[in-house]
Amino acid sequence: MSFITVQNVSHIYHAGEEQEHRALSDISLSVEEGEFVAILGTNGSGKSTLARHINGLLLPSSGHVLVDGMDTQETENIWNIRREVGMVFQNPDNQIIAAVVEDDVAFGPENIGMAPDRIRKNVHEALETVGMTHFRSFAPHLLSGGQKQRIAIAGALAMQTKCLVLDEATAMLDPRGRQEVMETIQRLHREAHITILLITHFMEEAVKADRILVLNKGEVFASGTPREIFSQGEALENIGLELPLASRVAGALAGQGIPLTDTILTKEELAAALRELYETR
Amino acid sequence: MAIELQNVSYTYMANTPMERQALSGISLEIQEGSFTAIAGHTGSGKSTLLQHLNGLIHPTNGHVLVDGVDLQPKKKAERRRAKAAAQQVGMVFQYPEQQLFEETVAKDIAFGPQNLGLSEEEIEGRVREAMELMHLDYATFKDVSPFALSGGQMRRVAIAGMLALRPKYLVLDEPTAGLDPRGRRELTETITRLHREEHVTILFVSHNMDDIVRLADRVVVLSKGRLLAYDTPRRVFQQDVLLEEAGLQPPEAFQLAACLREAGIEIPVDTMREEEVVSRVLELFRGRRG
Repeated sequence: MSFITVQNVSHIYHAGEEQEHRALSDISLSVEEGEFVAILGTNGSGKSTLARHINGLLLPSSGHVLVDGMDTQETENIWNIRREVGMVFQNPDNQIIAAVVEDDVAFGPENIGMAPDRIRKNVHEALETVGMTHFRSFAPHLLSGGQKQRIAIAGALAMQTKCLVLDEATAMLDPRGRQEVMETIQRLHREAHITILLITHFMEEAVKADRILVLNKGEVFASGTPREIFSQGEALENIGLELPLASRVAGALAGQGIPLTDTILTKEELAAALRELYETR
Repeated sequence: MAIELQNVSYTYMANTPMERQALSGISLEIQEGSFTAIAGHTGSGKSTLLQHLNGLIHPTNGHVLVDGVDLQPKKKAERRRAKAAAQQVGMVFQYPEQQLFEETVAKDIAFGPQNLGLSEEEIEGRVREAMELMHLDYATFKDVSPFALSGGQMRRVAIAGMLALRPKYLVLDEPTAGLDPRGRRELTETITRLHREEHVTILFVSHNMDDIVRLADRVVVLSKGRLLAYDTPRRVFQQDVLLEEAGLQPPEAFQLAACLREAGIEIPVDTMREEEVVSRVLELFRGRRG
């Protein structure tokens, strides 16, 4: 059984009102435990609405969302689901509440009445995992955006979350902050086998996922490995997305007669392919 | 005509234990008609600098002049002139769509001009003009609720609201943050056209070095409140030591070009735009270069 199962989910905002808006339209998908899935789509494609269904912040208008076998529509499940699925949102300043980093990370565990010894241990380990131990007694407002997002991630880890949903968590960060957050989630995926759902507008981030899910107008447009997805450049551009830089450059070169046949995703792959062609020219 | 910063320093919470110097001795001149980018790591002083440009805050030391007028006049009689000068600088903050509030797009854009006490006719003309400049068809969008629009469209409405005030200098804090690729591309094209065809002077803060190389003719690099560089993006992004100090990375296309060079594809070291990578690799493969 998959860790997350979304079965025929539709979500309608303001149902029956003038501004009625169907954000998700009969979506079905599943995410395996330990999988790293990137979700792409334009503004308004339903990405954030979908993300908010995973931990029951939103409930389906029709259909079901199952997390670790628990249905989000059953009220008694909701706290267990939220323990297992941690959310990190776009604005780092909107999700930190305590005056000291350590207290902020301990907030969730304290709320669910975890034993003090265990809280201390979990907070310590969580800060260690995101590389923020040094800042444990800092005031959060003194941290950079990337550091704040890592604190938000640590907060979820201290709850021993099994899954992290990051909703454009890098959109407001500078390049260094983005890199810090990306490295942290890749490490969590690799070493702690945490299931990752990464919503992003940055194709270079999506390349790092096991699988990419493309949403368009509230429906699943495509699902596949980064290589499968980014081999469909034209289809992606038609729905307002783009290819990663290395793929775009490879495409432009191929269009000018350089025989690059394989789908290229990264600068290293482009360099290797061009080198081979250049040497055998 | 220009915006001039003369030895500007700014200290938050001066004379308290929380005192923090956000800007130190910044001097620079932003010429009318230029397209200037501001780059720097979080906490480098970018936002503090922006807020000086239209007099939202005044320097602790030094002066900010817009078209020769000091925004912090010493005499009461000069205040009116200073206010008029500050109004030449239109400021669009991060995520400006969060500040939309009216029932229709046209009403939202009209809010600024209405505060200027203009006639209804003049206001309608300005709303129409601002919407056209931002590529929002007047007939299609004027009566639509701004909240029914896509993220990219909402941001256009917010920027149109500023353009309706007809500023000579338009300052944008990370105009494309959070937009999808199409939204980013369309908005940068629109801003480029505003500069080229309407001769609006543009200043924008960006974390996207590829955008800076593509759009700006000068880039201001800030680090720890100091001016580290004020030069063409092409010259700035070739200086590893400077970028390292500023906590910035060169454009993605520049990094791609560097990776190709390491693999023996010897394209020039100043290759830093996507189209340049393509054209220079092609030249090399076709053996046109010596």
